[in-house]
Amino acid sequence: MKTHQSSNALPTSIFDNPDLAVEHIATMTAKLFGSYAAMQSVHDVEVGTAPKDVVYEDGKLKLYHFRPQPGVRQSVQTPVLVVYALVNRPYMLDLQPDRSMIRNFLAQGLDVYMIDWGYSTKADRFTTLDDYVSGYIGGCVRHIQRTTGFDKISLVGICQGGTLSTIYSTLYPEDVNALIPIATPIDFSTNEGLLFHWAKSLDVDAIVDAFGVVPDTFLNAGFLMVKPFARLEKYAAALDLHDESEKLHNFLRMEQWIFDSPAQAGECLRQFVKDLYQENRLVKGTLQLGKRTATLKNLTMPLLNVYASNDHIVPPSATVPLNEYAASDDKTLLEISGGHIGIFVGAKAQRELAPKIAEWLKHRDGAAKARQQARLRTPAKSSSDHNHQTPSPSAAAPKTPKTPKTPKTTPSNSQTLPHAPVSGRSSSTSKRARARV
Amino acid sequence: MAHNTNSADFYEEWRANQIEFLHSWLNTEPAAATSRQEPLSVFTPSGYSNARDVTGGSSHMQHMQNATPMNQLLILYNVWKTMGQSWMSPLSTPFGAFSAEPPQHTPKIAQDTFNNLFSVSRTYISLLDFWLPLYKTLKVQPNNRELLQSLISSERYRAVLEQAFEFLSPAVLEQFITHTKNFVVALGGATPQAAERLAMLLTASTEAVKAALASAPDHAPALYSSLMVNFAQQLGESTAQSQKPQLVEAARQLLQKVSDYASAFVQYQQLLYNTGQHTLAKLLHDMLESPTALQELESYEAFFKQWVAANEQAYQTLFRTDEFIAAQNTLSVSTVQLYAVFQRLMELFLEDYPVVVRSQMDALYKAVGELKRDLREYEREHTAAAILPTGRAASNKKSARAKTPKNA
Repeated sequence: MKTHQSSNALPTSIFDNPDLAVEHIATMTAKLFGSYAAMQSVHDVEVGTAPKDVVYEDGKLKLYHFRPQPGVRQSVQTPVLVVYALVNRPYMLDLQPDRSMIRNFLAQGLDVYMIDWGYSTKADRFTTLDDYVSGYIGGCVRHIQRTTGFDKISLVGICQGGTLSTIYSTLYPEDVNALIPIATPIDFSTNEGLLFHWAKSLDVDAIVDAFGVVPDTFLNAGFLMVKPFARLEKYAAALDLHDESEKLHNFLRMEQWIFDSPAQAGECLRQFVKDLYQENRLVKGTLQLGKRTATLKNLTMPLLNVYASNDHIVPPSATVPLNEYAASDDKTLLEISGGHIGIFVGAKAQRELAPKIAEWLKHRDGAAKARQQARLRTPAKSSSDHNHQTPSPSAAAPKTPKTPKTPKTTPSNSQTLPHAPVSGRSSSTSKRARARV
Repeated sequence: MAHNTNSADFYEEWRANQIEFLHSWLNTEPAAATSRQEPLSVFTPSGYSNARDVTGGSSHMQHMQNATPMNQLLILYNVWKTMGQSWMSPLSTPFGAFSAEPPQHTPKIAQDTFNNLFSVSRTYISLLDFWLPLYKTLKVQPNNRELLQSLISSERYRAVLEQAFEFLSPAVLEQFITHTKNFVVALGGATPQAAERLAMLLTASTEAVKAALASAPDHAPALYSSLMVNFAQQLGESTAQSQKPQLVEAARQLLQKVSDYASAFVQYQQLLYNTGQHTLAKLLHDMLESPTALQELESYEAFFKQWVAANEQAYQTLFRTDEFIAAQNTLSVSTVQLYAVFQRLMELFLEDYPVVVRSQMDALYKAVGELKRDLREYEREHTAAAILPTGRAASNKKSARAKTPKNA
């Protein structure tokens, strides 16, 4: 039996090895001061710098249209609408010039639009999943249809944005030329990802009833707990970046994105957690949005399902099954090595992802292009267009622009493409629509 | 401070300065070390040259060797604390040293990131403080499992885990006490009889709870919880004689929810503490079993990495257990319920004033949302009806509708 005496005889202080203690404390102190000095030299952390215009707005939502890159020939005519998740900001796709899925798309000659959801406020407490899908996405789709003449566009959905895009495609398949969900949760029955496991028993009613609009800090606490010690490792490594300005700025851009999380509209979050995470209704074909039911059997358009091999947020078991459930005859599954974030910003993903998507889209561009040209040859007859107070979702809206335009065929045409006069509120926003971002 | 200092030079200069200063400090006379509290500028680049003058002497090491472990520990913590009171303090408060700078000079994310770096550096040093004696013990008495266990179970290691998870439980609970007391005092305006008595009770108990938080953080939440329940009961008894019973009832609920929250928080934390301690015990066991383990442990950086990896794995396992998920859910629900009761109280306070309260705004938002939805549906139907009779548009529409799901 050891006694306290024997225990006390042992050294128990940092000063038993002063040289070592001095070394470590001094090193850490110096690193902190180095970081302090380095942070002082940071004047700006720029994100989302690819040139773009706001071409449509609806409440807090902004629809960006990216300008083509000089000298790049448009290789795919059908417009591509990128739908990002609600839980983070979309500039992850354009984090910095050399890590930008958007710029990579443009370099491949795609005509790219992207939704920026903005930041939810207390007024969004009762904004529903259907409002996001039929209302907001529908409004953007309608705007692109009107201004480009295409009756079908391609949807690229990112993470939760992929789920929203998939739901939209099930409700309004006539609007969608091709669907490309990336790192998108579809089969929520899996428990592989920790968030999936936790969400199964989350009392989302209590949370939404209390908060109304669920604050970002509350959600971020959950996200950060997924890998609590990885945080230590990350920042310990970051202490060495103080004399590497470029790497430090890269790190800060990522930090900016991680902590820039909008609050979540309560009713939408409630349905997303209950109907999807807890009851897996999209796969079961029982997901109700307003008067409509989303069923994956309606996914008849070409499907390119992209997933990350080491995704710990949305594991492959949640993404891959989409190809089993979709009714399309044209389904492709694409694995990109990396994690949930790496698939968008990793070096390998930068080289692989956009070219593969562009190549896939090229082979599915013909029909949409032909339809557009046929429509442009047809005189516009719609008398209902001017009646629109707000862009209406679904195929009900007229497909023919009021003023027929030459389809975009060259970069210069695209660059100077006039935004078609849009009626009602769209018309009023058209002035803002050209505001350079 | 020069903003455009070359970071690499700055770093090397500071590192050298720190090493020299600490060596100098460790070789001071005890008396000189005591007087060291004044010129804290030795930690600044310009003040560095004064370090030897301030610290002087060369027998501090001998003093350290003669001191008791507790004294040594206290001295160490005083060093760290003193540093915290000098240059680290303005650094840890969001760039306090930047107060003279234009607000937009440093992006918020740079400030926040520095705070995170600072937080992690504290964890790093806390673990170092724990690791050095641990390492020594393993070398001198590797088979003294009792001693090792006592180290693992020590408050010092608990402090490391608290920093790793950024727990501030005593501070959080202390805030609750303060806010609850303020609330009850404020309640006096509406229910003077009940509030007066409760405010007195809370005020009298605050110091006791604060002392408990400082000396025995494990037991403080339970103490606080029982106090809150006691107050809540007394408040409930006062409800009948109150001028505004619903307000007192809401106050009683608030106290109850605070109690629920405190209990849930303690339970949640305890799971994390237990896992952290078991993980360290297993890590040490594995090291002792391996012939090269002790050599590997000599590098603190290597130990830090192993410690992070082992904990990451252990917590991933914990996070999937029913026990943890239940504790986490209890904590999240108690948090939001506390928030909800607080909101309800605010409304009760405000309802006599000519202001619009949250629930009224919510009703408005709900109505607006429903109107927008109806309008969307109306437009969809109206547009469909308008297009149908027209040539190609009608044809397209028909074709499109044919592909629309039946239930759409």
